[in-house]
Amino acid sequence: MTSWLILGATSGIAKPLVREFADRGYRLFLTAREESSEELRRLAHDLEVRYDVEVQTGIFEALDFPSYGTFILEVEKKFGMIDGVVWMIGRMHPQEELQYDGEQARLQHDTNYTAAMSILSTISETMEKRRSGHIVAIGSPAGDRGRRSNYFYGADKAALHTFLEGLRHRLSRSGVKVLTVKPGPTRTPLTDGVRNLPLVTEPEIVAKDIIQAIERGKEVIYTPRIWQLIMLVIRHLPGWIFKRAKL
Amino acid sequence: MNMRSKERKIALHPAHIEGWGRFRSGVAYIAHPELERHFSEILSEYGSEHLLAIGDRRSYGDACLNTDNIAIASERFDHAIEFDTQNGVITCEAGITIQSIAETILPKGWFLPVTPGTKYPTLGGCFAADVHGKNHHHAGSFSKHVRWIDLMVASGEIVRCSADKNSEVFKATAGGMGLTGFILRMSLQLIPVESAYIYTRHINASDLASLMQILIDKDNDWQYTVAWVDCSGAGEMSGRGVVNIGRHAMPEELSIRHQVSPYKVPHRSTIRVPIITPISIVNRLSSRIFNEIVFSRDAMSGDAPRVVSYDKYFYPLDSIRCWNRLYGRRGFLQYQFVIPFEGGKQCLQEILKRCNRSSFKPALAVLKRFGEESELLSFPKRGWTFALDFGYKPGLLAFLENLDELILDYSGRIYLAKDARMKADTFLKMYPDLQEWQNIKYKLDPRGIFSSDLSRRLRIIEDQS
Repeated sequence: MTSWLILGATSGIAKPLVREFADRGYRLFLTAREESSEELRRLAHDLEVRYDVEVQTGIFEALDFPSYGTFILEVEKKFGMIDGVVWMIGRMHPQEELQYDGEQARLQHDTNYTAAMSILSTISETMEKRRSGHIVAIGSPAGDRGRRSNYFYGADKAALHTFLEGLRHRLSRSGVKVLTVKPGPTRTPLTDGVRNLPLVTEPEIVAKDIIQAIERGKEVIYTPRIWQLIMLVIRHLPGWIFKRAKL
Repeated sequence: MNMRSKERKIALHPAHIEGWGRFRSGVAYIAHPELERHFSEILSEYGSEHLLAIGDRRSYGDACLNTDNIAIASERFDHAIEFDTQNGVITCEAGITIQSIAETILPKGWFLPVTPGTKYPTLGGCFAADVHGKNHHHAGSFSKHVRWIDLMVASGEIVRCSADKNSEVFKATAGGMGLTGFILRMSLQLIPVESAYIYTRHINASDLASLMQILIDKDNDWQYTVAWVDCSGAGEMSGRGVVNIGRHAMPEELSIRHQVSPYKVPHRSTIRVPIITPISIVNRLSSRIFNEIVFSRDAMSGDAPRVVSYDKYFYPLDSIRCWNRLYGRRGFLQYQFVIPFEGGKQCLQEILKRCNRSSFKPALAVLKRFGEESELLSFPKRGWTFALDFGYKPGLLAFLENLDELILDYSGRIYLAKDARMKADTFLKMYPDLQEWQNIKYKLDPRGIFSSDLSRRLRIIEDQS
């Protein structure tokens, strides 16, 4: 039986994704922050009722780095070996505030990048030794090019992209798969009330794409696919055009 | 983003909301509660405003609209709570969809006791509109199978009610169009089935009289019956149609391939109408062609029985996501009413005749017999129910208003979940229990905070201001 650890299981994209996992009969260990523990328990219970699978829960605070060791021990003790891990934790602060609030910017970066790097790196050790496993992390097309409206978040995701690329390179010899998912704007609590999102997609569609990519052993996906093309164009825009574009 | 969330615990965002017919729409301030306490917080923070809980917005008219007021979307309040696989009872939060329920219960040998013709509505929506299915003549409406609901009323108190306990509240909420409070949870009694497939047959009828007779004859023995009526033909062709009958299939009736896992249905791919077509492409010509194809297809396959998945059988239109966009910018209206059996034939014939003489041709028309009578604002009563889809064009509203007179003459009534245009005094004549319903409503919600565009248009709730 396949066992997956989901970091950030109460995020808008995670909900349909864990339902897809449970529908396949996977065992799940779901985590969230302390303040979301009620949502987490309810989600776990929902999965058990709907799909008749084993679901464990635990608290994972991304910014509490010293707790990582005990967290991993707790997972191993309660859940055993994990076949896969999904990183779904993210933070997006209004850009205007980050521009003058350096501490906020650091907290966002630590959540979006430092924490992901640290925990995924630790988990990858055992997978490498075992010569099997799956590492999945949510990146963003925003990391493909720094745009004035969203470059703090974009920089976090660019760092994550490069880290995962290197991890994939290193683990390719051991057969551990690393998948970077870059979802376009998705209707989740994170985007509630953001008007005129371009080509906004539903989290259910993103979840289906992710699970398909895992099953096919893909390395980097854009979801919906159209974003691959859009970002290809945006990445190659000459600077003098890019600077004039309102992006 | 989410700037208002800093001042208030529950953030509201303006959103453009459409009825399924896309004829009515409006901007409401929308909230997405995820936990029970969020509903209480909405009441304590916005308790002096007008509130309406909404589901998947599958009602056709303005029942899901609360223009310039607050709409509370239940889509994130969609968790399963308990499934008693021995007795076939499922308990869920109200935002869960028919589709999710079906996918959860079928593997254990259970099915929904009543299902509407689309799988996307939420359970809360189904209860609020007290929906019916192709088995109404046997099973009655949706609320008959609900063991209890938890209703959060205006005071913030949660009332657990059922047909026996707090039965007034239960009855007023079944078909109450969301106007009695927030439906939070419900417990549904399921029916056992032997497979996820339906054993079904088509029977052709060359005119309305024989179509109605077939429905009468088949209703006793068949769990599911419904008739599709061709209104596009002129003269003697008008009123011809196809009766569809069905029941849950036994495993041995399935193809060998499906017998291995009788509760599993093949994944059905869907296509999506990506844009609102600038003009309606559902017009006289296309619906004529459509009807011709359906009629000749069914005529060719004759009455040979077929076994189809529950998904294809109950939810044929769901394979085209956003099919309502095909009607173009101005949308469409569905006119669904019920009239008593006595005089039913004359009334239906008169309606077909009027459609024929006019330029308003329904693109789709569905006929069915209702069994059990419902109470208060719930729609079904014993008799014939007929649903006609009309693409909007100028003059349609006047045409439908004339039909209202006819329906009233035959002591019929119009379905609130479909209506977008009826007049308040027509409504009052059609729903004589309104006063009784209002008495319960004002006990639960003295200030009338739960309201909708529908309730204001039809004066279901008296204006308090």
